[in-house]
Amino acid sequence: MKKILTILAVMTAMLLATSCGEKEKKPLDITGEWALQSIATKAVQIGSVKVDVYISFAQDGSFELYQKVGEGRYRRFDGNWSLLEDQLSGTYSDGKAWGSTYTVSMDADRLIMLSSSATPEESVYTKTTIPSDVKNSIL
Amino acid sequence: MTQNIHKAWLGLSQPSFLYIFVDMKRIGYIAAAALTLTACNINKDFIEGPTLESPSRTKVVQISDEYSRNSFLVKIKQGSDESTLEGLRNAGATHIERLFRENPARKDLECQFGLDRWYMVELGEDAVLDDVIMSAAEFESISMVEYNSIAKKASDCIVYPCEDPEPATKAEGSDLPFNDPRLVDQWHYYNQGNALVSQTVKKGADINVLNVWKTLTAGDPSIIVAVVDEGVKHTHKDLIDNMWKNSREIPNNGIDDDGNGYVDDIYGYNFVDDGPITWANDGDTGHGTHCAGVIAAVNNNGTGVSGVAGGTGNGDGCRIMSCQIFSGEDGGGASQVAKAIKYAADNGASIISCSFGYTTPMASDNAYIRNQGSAEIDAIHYFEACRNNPVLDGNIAIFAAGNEGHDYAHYPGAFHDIISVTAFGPDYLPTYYTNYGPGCNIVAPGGEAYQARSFKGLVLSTVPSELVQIQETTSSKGNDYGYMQGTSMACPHMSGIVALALSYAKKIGKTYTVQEFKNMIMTSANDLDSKLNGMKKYAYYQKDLDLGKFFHKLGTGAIDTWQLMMQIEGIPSIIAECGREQWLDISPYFGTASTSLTYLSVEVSDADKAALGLAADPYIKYGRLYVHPTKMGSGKIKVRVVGGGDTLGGGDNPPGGMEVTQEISIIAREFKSQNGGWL
Repeated sequence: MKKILTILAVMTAMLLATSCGEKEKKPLDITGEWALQSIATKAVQIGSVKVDVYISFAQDGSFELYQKVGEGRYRRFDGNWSLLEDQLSGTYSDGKAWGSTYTVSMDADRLIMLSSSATPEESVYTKTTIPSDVKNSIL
Repeated sequence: MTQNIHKAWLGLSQPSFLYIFVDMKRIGYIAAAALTLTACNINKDFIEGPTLESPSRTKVVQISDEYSRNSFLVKIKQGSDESTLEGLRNAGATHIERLFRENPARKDLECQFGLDRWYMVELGEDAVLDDVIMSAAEFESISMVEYNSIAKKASDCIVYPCEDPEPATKAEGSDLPFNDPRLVDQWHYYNQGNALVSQTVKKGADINVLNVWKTLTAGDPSIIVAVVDEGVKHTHKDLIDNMWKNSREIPNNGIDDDGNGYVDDIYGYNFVDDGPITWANDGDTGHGTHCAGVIAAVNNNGTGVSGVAGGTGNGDGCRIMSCQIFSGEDGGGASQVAKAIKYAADNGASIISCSFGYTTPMASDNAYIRNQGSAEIDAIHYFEACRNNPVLDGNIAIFAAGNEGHDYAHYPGAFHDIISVTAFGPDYLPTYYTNYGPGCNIVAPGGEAYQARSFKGLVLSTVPSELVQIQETTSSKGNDYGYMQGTSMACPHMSGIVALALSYAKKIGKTYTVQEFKNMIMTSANDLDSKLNGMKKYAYYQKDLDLGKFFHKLGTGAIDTWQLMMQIEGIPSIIAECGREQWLDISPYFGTASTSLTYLSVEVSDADKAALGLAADPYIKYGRLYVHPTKMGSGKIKVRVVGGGDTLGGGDNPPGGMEVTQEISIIAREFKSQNGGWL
């Protein structure tokens, strides 16, 4: 029994070591479509203003952003992104830089983006499919 | 009843109080008050009766130097009895009757605005109007006496026929959404910068409606616009499908089937001849039919022209109600205007389009209504209080500012809470004829002749082919389309846009108060002030128009239909960055004219101030909102502006703009991008 437990412990340790090693080597993959789930722990609401944000990061380095901040219809932005280790930055297609760069991490189906502003703003996005009515609402 | 119109010229033979405000535009409002006293002294022997100082004279409303000589209006005091008016018969009255037909369903509103207390007094041939009016003013039971003043149409009323209204070959490759063949000539809807329109044409000098038609709405048949004007040719092939029809009335049976007080009123009513609507009598000009076409000529029917709210060709256009107040050489009396507006209110109209006014300037709203009201102003306020659509808690009145190049808007449109429309041409500049200055609220296309050697710089719309002046004109004899110019044409553009806006708000389930809706209308405008430099050539480049005189005097700017629709959808919050003072672009709330508006106040509640952590009170400078948030949060900042001009009108103030308020939603974050993108 002791031997069996020892073998199991060694195997577990090996598996964990392998796993950690792979995690360290595997780059973050943020491609796909994401929906903003929370901002600074306030769930998609800043004060009384509801915020809806969908982002699609494509493998070719382009992104699409659909946002509705308060009233009105969705607005669409696009441009390019780049990820260097865990540092995400981007530029809109009108040449304007993002308002911040982000330190990103992933947890299961969640993308966590921490802004580099003086007071960091943490936004959590979940994997989603951007609804067609959101895309179609763009004029 | 045929009006016996009298024109009162300046002169010693007239009672001073009749013309004390005649043509004051060069004198100024303050000087006019002094002249008033002088004029009264000179002429006090004209009529035996109370002096200017007499309280009874302050009861007399006289808005125009043209008025009926055989009728006038009186309003009795609350609680007074109609029988007290019988004494007027001794002074020469032959007939006295209530001015407004009763609407039992709106008795409370009638009482609220005093419509139940107005009476029409008709005189015998021997009676002297001014004597009887002064006698009436002495009656204790009478609170107001009003001359039955004659309003003027805000156009030169000249129709230039459309040369080829039904071309055999239609324009190809067009991005226009409707197949109406002459839509290509309606630059006022979609100005592509075609030099044939005008040598100084400017691409985009239009109402920006094209994408609204394509993507949002082109009308709603439940939204009814009353054209208070000459009779509308309701048989016109490009109008008939968008005419309002009184379904409760059986045509031509001589009976008031629906009990609304009017017999056989199918498409509206003729308040001049007290009968069927007419449009081709001697003296008619096509003015009403032209305005109706601008509002809602049937779209996409492969015929003629388009209308702003004319639908998509599927029976979905807004509806036109004809409230006829001009007929041939007659009409335009205050009694007819007031009754027509009341009719529009009681029969379902949501908008009245009023391309007329009184040309005489007034020192203030109160100088006009004597602190009490006038029949037409009371009727307008009643109209705006009636609820005839699911969007608003009332209705909207639109007036033309006037067509004489006066530096003031004509009343009733100049009244502080009524929208008064000035005119721009295809060059996106004020037209040579438009009134401007106090009382003017917003600008819309009015067209302008003499800019090109064709008439394509004017506004193209429907007209009655029967009219003699059209038939006598060359090869276009008998066609149903023509060009006209005037603030008369700018007014129905606004009416059509408001009809579209109500249609869209209904479609997406939005509701507003009338004031909230006016706030949105007035702030959906593009800046014109920055273009008002130097001179503009007109009249075939023979004359100069000084553009500087229009600066800040055309209203809030040029109406933009798309902006209005975006306001209806709701304006996104503006993102501010924590930790520093910054200015925010508030043009989504106030149009691109935001930089040239007159701001009255900036207010924020303590709760919102705390939510945003504002380090200082927000303020406006050069049309930009300055804020200094210190923490992440959101709040609303209320900004009040003058809707047209530098000062607010109303009460004893000189004529001025209406108060417009917008609540700006701010969201503060730790950072922001330069283009408003979330990342």
